[in-house]
Amino acid sequence: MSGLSARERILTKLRAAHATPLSCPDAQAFYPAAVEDQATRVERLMLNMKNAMAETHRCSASRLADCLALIFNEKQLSSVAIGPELLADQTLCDQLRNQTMLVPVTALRVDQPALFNTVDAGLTLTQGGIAETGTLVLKSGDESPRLLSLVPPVHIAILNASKVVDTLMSLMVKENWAAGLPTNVILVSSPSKTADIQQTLAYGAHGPKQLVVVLVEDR
Amino acid sequence: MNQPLHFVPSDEFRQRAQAVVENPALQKSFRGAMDFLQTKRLAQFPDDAALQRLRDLGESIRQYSLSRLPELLETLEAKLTDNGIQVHWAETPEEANQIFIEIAQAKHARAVIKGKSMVSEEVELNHALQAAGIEALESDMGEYIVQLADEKPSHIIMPAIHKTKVEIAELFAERIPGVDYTDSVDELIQIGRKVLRDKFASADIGVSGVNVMVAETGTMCLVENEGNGRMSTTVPRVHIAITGIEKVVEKLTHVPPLLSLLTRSATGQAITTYVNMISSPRKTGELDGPDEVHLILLDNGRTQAYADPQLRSTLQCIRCGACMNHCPVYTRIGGHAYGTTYPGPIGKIISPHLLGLDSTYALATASTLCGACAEVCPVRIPIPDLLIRLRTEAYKNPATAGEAVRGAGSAYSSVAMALWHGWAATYRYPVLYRLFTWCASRLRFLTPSNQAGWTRNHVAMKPAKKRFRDLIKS
Repeated sequence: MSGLSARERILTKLRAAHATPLSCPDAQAFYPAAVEDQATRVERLMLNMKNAMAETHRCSASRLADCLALIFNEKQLSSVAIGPELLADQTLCDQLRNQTMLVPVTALRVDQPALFNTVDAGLTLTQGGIAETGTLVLKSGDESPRLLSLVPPVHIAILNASKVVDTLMSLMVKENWAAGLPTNVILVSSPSKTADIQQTLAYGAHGPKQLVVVLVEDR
Repeated sequence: MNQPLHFVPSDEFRQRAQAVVENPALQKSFRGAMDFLQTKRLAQFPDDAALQRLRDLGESIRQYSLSRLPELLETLEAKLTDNGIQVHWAETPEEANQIFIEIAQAKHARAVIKGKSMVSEEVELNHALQAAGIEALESDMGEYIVQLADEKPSHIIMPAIHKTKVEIAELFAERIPGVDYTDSVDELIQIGRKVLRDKFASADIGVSGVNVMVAETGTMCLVENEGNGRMSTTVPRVHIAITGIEKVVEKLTHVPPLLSLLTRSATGQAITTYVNMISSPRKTGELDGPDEVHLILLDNGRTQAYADPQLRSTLQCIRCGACMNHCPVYTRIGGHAYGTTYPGPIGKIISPHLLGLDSTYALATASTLCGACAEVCPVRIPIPDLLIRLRTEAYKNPATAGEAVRGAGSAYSSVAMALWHGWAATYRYPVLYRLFTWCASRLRFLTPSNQAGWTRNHVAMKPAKKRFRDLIKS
């Protein structure tokens, strides 16, 4: 087999084993449809996030700017990075500019040094929430840079209550992820942490030391 | 222990294990760590019936994926390529390292930042890169500590589990310029964070492992708590992932149960801080992420395990480390004694395929076959059965050992085999048995006081004055 590529040699060896194909397990059947209402589901997510040391806030859509302003103020965040997804909301940005310096991240890699060195927090939207594990779903895209939720010491995530689902499985099925995924999907369930030194939990290992969830309720 | 640990001959395994057993500080440190991990895992599985159902599902997903492995790998490759990810295949560690070096040289890369990857440890990537003049820095806190100390990981999930915070404090003060001694864990982590931050921004290439690959979407899933995995796969312009060929599943819906089993079994977490699903390089219009993503699929003996229907179950492994956390042998001798990349029960059954049975057969004998590993394995790998199989392979006559495992028959001794045959015959024929026991009881004064392995830890054996059958008769 010396003339063949590594790929062909590996596949030839695997095929030579003639493994009998088994039938495909139905993983979906393991996750029964949830019976709880949306409000209970949201409560479960918030409780799980709180237990994982995330800070949780709630507000209505019309009070979002006030809620964020309070958080900026309390944490004394003098500069907050935001991506195109939030810059599009002119009114919100204008209100926020009264409280802090907004650092727009809009050009390829140009803003990276600021993110690493000077920005106090990253503010992002969230594409979903998972109640079972207390998890935020972040999908990358033209409007949503990946580093905003990772590099600054504080990550503030806005989550719409209607986007909370029961399990990762239900989200995958509901949104038909099998048909194709964006460049990057990140599930976030707590601030960055490590227990690599003598099993002692420490926060802010390489990612944000603080994770702040702002739940927007459309009531 | 300041020398880099390479794969070490198995005849030194006993000495290394002995040294750890005689070190009370290490004993305490391992015992404490294992108790911690066992308790945390148990708290995640309060309902045993639900756990068993989930294990059934995990096992069936892994077995199904392996049963279709060659075609799933082809589907995966096609899908990843469609998505813009470049796929490479490596049969040996040397081939894998060569692929890394070629990509690095094409990019004129000087520095590589690494997320945690046991497969990169398996191929000794750091050594290969350094030899090619490329700096390779570990960014997982545990891996960073171990690299700073010129050591190797002693656990596949918690690499620096053998070190106390005082040892790490001394290490940091000695090896990181401008750092004063502190044994506050928070401060130590912040020191590591600060040192590594700049490295993420300046590295040319980020390296990572993969926990699960999804064939239908061409997706690589990675779990982690620190954020260094996300940094390594997002900040540098080039991302190179490396993993074993066995880590593929067909469907995205196969991922949630496996992730749930993995994180709960490994560290007792319902989910890790981050689950990172990568399906392509940065697309035009996106503001960050690597321009190039590569995946290296490594064989390194996995096809050998795959060829044998029984040994194939070794490849079901999702690398949670629960088997080592619950192993009475690992708990006492720690990870370094094994001398292999993967220690503990999984190391005993996978290393013979990676390195050959000739240098690893002693590992399979370091087990009481108590079955704790199989009881906690989230995908139900029958580890004790595989240990017995590997022992059998090692002691086979090389002339007839067959080709199932490279190095089979390497523990064979014709004298030992003759003795065992004699022993078997004695038990098979009553006349021989009676003759043997008659001689043994009469010649008991000839029993040696030094009985090789036995008298190291036990009082010497001596036959009774009277045989059992004589006692009954009288």
